[in-house]
Amino acid sequence: MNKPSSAADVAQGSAFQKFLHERKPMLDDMKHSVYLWKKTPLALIGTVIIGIFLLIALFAPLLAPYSAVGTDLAHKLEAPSAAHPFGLDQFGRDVLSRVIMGSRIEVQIIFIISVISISIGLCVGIIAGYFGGVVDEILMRITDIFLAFPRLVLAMAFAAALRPTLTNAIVAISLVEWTVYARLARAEAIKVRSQPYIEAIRALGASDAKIMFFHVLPMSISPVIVQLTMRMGTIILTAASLGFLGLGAQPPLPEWGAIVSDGRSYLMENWWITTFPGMAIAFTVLGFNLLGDGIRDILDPRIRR
Amino acid sequence: MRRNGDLLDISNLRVVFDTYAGQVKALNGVELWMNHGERLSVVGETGCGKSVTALSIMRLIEEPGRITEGSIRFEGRDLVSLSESELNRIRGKDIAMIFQEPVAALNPVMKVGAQIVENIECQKNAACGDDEVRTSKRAERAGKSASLELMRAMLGHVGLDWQRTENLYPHELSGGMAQRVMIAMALSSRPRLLIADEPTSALDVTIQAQILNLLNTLVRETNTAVLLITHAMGIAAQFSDFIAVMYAGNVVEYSSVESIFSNPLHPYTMGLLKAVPKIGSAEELQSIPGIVPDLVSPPSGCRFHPRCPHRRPECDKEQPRFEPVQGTTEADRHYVACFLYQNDH
Amino acid sequence: MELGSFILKRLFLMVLVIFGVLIIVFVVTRIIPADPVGAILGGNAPPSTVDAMRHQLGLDKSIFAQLLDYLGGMLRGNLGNSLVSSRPVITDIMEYLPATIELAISSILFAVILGVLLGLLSAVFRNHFIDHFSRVFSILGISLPGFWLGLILILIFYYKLGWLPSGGQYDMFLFPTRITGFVLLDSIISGDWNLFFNALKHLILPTFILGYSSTASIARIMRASMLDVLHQNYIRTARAKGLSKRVVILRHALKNALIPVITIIGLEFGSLLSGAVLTETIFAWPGLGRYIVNSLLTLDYPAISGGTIFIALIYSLVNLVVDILYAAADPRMRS
Repeated sequence: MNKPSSAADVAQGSAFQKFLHERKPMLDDMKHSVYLWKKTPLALIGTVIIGIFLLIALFAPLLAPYSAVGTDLAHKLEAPSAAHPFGLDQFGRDVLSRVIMGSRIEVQIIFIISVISISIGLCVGIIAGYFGGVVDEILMRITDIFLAFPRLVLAMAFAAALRPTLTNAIVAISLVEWTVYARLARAEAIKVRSQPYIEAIRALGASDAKIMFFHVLPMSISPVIVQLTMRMGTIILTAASLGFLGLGAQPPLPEWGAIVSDGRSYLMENWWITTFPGMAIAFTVLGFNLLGDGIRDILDPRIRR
Repeated sequence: MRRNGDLLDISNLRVVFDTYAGQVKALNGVELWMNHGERLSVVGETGCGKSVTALSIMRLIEEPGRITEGSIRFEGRDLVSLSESELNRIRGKDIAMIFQEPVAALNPVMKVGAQIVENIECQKNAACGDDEVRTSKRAERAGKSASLELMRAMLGHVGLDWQRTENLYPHELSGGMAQRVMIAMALSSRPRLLIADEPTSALDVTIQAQILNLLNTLVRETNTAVLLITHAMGIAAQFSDFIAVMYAGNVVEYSSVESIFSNPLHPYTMGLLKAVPKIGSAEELQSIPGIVPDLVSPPSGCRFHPRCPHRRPECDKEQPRFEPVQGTTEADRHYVACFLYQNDH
Repeated sequence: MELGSFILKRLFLMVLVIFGVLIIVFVVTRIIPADPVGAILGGNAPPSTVDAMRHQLGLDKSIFAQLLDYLGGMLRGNLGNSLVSSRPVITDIMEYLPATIELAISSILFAVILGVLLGLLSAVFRNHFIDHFSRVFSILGISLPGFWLGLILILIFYYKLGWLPSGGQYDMFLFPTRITGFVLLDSIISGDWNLFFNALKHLILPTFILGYSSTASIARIMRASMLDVLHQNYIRTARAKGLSKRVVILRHALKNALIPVITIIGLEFGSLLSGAVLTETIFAWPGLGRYIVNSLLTLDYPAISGGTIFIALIYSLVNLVVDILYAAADPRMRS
């Protein structure tokens, strides 16, 4: 495809070329972001770590040397060895395999939480910001009420109320996370709704729903996604905490927090059951935090030159 | 004639900034001097280095900038070689400075009266953290009330009602009021040199005139010398005795106000003067062709040569020396850095 | 705006929010599928006993009447009776609250002091060793799971080295005289120095674990804020006045840099309350957090609702105090 060299060329070019040309400032901005990202060591390391994490989750069944749930009581509580680098737990299960399969659960968790919390958050935020007035006040008070609780406590309460399962834990965390994105989306909606071009479109007969979906939503998505990446570490820790407390994934699911909790009774003599899944959590969260930091630095207007 | 700068004498000052885009050679051998009680304006476009020069005098240039060469003599002492604590004995006392955006230049969480008092207390060194001088608690308390009185007197001098002003926070002041506060603070120590870095550029035009008149009156009373940084020739002409024109890190011309306007010599100065609109004249404005040079890789030789209508072959080979013009008097002190006027001796 | 009217306005908003909290907790505890009566009596109780219990718990009234009962009870400070201990929930809470407060105060003090110090040094000595150390320390602080780190430290300091205790507020064979409920205070008041130092030793690991992530957050914000402030014009003015670097940093920069840190402290207190739940569980700390976890696991509904409401109340109060402090510190915020 030849790049059009002037506006006249563009007018004659394909629709796709026109589309790209219109979005040129946005594309240039994205290119600059990628350039800065490549130059920021923190963001790169974080991305690599997350990449490893996702790859492990993707190929987990192939990577895990043994079954994650098959018990072997004859060999329980064996120390780490060449055959079992992470040792065996109290049921004779290979801890390494459990950790590897656990990565799948983690990916499931963060994916579903992201989708649910962003959906609710965007809806509430955009509606509140766009309509303003009473609707805004009510929605914001509701958000305040959710924010009146320390997050983990609220998630715990929801998880317990809904009966402790992995699904319910995911729902519980989502019910707590959405408030953050609602605030962001609302701020964007307020910014967009006061733009002159919105008035113009409305005069042409566009409905509120259309405006919210086609104009407010695209603007709100990007800060929300950025915030999500930066909060991913906290989300993982919250999920693992629920698992640790027994309010999340139930046995024999190899969720990392639950495995750490399993190992607690054997901590003195069989430290490996607790240590390795915890390191997996730390490693993954570290990756997201490094990436989040890097993203924050890249977006900082003082560095963006 | 010999140049005499018994108050301030800057010689061959070179300052660079190490940025990720390269090394910015901001000052390229600046030459400047003043005597006690004189008024000197440094004029030039944005980016020519006038603010950097002013900050260098006070040694306020921070990483990634540094002075690489040159001397800055204040009453004979070379400020470049002094230690931080020796400099602190001069800053705010013998040399004071006021800045461009006065509200932003004041601490937002401290009442303005207290900020002035801090400067006054600093005269005794004990309040500045200089551990070598300690005063007794009683002397401190006695000194405190004297400081308050002086602060209130200074606020009155700059035309502010101390009762209403001393307890205000900077964000509660208008630009003009804030600049008055800064002037009060700066002059409270009776400095021998006041450096004013574009003090009125951020203010409304009417307020500008007020502030300049205020400054004029106050420094005349105390015979304080003023180094005024500005990009407005008009202000420079009204306020000062001498003018130094800067371009891309060098002083290209220096003389008395009369001499510069009646007899501008450097092509850049001539270009500047021609670009100023004259009321009542229908002449077309002439701008200087070309753009301000990139200071990371500046032009060789004279930095103005790419835009100069009188360019000669030697202009891109070496920098012209900064020399007195033939026949200039003590009163005029006309110096210029241009091959058109080089005396080859 | 005057500071006084600012406070009143925020108090009013807080009351509104608490009211909403009460409604939500009520709704949540009533729509849950599990039947509390079944949980208490087991599956095979005769219908008459079930009905009697239902009547006793007020569950046979209309939902609206239950709501009114509930709200009325709240206003009188009656949070119902715990299904596990059979005592009023409020009594349970009051017994365990001091331990959590002790831990929370000690952790927040630790976090603020160390965090501000690290952030300050990090900004002033940018890119030197202390900066790198502090940044690594901080990023680990928000990445390492607290519950896991706690267990690892117990493994090292108790099992392997034997320097520190593994849990509890004080050794089992010591009996504190309960005056205020705060073990450290009580031991000082009653002059029991043995208990005092014992309690201090028990406080070390939980404080570190609970405070670590807050220390990290505070240090990061402090560093960023300080770097920002050091570039401001008024710092240049301060230096032009001839003030020494130390005075400029401590008197001019620090005050301004601390302002964003104050809001963070409020947020951190919230995560501290969350973290207390985990820390108290690991270290068997007899506090509100552990009480709530146990209530959740045993489905002790009055205790769960009472406990969460109480925590929400404390959290809102702390946020209010922080907002007030912020307005008091930054005069620009009052208008």
